[in-house]
Amino acid sequence: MTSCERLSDLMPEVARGRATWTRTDTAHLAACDTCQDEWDLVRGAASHGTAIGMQVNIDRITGRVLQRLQQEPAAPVRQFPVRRLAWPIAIAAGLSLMIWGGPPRNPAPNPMPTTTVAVLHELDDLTPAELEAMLELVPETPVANYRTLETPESLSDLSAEELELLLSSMED
Amino acid sequence: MGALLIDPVGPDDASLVEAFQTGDESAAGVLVRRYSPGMARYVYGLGAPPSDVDDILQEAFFRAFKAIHTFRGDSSFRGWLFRIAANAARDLHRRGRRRGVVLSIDDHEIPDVADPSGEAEASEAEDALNGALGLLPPKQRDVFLLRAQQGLPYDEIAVTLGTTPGAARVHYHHAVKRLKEAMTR
Repeated sequence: MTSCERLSDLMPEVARGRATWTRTDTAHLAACDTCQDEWDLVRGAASHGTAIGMQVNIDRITGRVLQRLQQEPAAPVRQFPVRRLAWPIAIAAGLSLMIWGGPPRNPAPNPMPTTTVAVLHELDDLTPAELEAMLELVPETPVANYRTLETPESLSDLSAEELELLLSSMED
Repeated sequence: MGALLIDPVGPDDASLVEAFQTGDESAAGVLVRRYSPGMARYVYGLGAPPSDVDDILQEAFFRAFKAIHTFRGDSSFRGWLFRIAANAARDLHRRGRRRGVVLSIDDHEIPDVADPSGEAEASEAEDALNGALGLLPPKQRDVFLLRAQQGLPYDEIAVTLGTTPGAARVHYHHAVKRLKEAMTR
């Protein structure tokens, strides 16, 4: 960092009385026209509008703000709107489970290759347009191991607590 | 390097915000008292006429306290407040423009500091700075005022204006260059 940059960074602090120049700074400032111009500008800005700031009627502003707040109270602290978003998220979660199958519950070896693996190999040969067309069909396509996931028949079968649990598990 | 001096501290903003949220109205009064002078100077620097400053501050504090539950402690209350004040000033300006009143905010015009009631007696140098500020692009003006007038550090300016500290620093240096050029003409 050059002396000019360092002084530039310090100028607002010095102008507001929160820092002071060292002898080296003062010497540089006296010799550098660029820094001197900037210092004049920053000093002007630091006191800019001081008269306006002093004329503010703080008591009147406070009184009016509090009066307006009594008429229109501040909204209560709200939690993240989980309940409002519960259904859309739960539906998305259900669809995701249907599509991806989720992690295997039982890591025991499966002697038979699943249909999903075969389909994935075939995807390599599809054009982007064909892939897009297929993706559109995915939600309607039954997945081979759908039943083994023990996913409920419908998300509407879940209680509010179960939905919350499902959402929590997605957030983990 | 110059020595940094520490400001005396009262109750911090977070404590006051929390106190207000639990029904202590006096906490709001402390916050209004703490930030009104600085906010007044800031909105004046943005181009608000002195006669509108009290109304803008009232609107800004009302909006802030009404939406206090949306304030997250990961940004400074001061920065959050200044952003609300800038929006309140611009909203008032837009409403004024619809009524045919022309102000300088976001219009890149030289601020009209003439005040018929004689409220503001700006010095010649302040007039010159006001005129030059009115020529800056809004972002440069915001950054310059928050840095040079209000003394906010770049990281706080960045959060306040939704940018990065590096970009804020670049805006500041562009602003300084333009202001120097405008004021030496």
